[in-house]
Amino acid sequence: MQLRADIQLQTAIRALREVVAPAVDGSNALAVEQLQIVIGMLQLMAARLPLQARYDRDELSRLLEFSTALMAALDDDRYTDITTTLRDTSGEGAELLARAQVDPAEVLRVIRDLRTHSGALITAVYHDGHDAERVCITALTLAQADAQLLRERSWVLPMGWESEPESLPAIEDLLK
Amino acid sequence: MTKPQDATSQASGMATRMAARWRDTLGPQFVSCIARVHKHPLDHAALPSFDIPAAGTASIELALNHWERVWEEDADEDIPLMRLAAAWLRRHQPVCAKPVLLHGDYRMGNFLFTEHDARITAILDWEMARVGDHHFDIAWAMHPAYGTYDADGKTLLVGGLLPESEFCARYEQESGFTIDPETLHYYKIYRGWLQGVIAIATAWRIAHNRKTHQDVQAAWILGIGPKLLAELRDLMALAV
Repeated sequence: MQLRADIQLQTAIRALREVVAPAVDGSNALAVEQLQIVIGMLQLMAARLPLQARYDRDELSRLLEFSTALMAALDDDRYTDITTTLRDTSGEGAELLARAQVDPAEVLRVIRDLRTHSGALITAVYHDGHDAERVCITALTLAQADAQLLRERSWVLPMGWESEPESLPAIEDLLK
Repeated sequence: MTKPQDATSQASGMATRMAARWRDTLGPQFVSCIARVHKHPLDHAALPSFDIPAAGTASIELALNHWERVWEEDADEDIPLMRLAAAWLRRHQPVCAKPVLLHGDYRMGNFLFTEHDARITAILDWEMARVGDHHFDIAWAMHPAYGTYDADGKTLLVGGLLPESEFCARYEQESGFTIDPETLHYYKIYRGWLQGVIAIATAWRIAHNRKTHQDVQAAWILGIGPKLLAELRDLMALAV
């Protein structure tokens, strides 16, 4: 999917800084101040978005260490109810952390590699393959596109490009 | 003006809805203008800046070479459907018996008319003009996004002006060229692939490389990519 957050943020910031900001009435202090704040927020978002998942993993890891240390420091059974809940949550967190080690950037890199290599295979089969192979990869590619494009159309639904938006499923229902 | 003041539409030329009086007067002229373009003399003196490919498959091959290179240069990530469409288009190139001057972006929004007498006075946006198969301009003009549906909700009005059947019949009559349904379908697929190149690859490159003061519009256009590709996918499913 090409319309990702990075290109949206980059272009929105540039439009605000170079087109909108010069047109704002300088005597409207509230508008000038809030425009600068919006630009600043979007710049922060653009800078930090690639680190968001890593930041959350790091925080989860440190909180697991912290909660383990808290429980170890207390041998008083006055807090049993709370420590039981904390221990359960820590167990859930540890299991989650073990499953969440992959960086989203790595996932995206392999997605793009798979797009490139499968595309190259389609081109090669159409150039050098047999009719039966072409029929087969055509059917597979059309089926892949059908599902992929349904997700992409649902993802960008709020942009208003669809003539019958109600006919598309919600993106939440299309993701595994 | 590019549309009547009482018409409604989305972005330039998209989904323009016009009153019957405009359809009756502008519709026939819309056809006449493209027929006249297609009948323009094709020689070096008349078109000194144009490559004039020979009859056969040369014109579509040139077009595929050009736009495939644009895809290679502009696209940020590959799309299997776009690869499939490019390969299919190369394999099924139709023979063009008589290349013509093509406008390249002939649609509602790309002509001017005077409102007081409903007369088309200028055709705009010639930057994609080239010499090729007349079916291309016809397929392009017939894109549903550039038209609207009639009151019955079923009849697509080409450019919001006249039904597809009338558009084609008038064109054949005025231009002297026939419209072959199979070739027209080929060029609808080509249209879908070309729109994918422009709306996904080139729009992304413009926005990413900070090429204009309208980068945010280019990024916004990326959002129509999935809908355009879904139409391409459906057209290809009908052809294979």
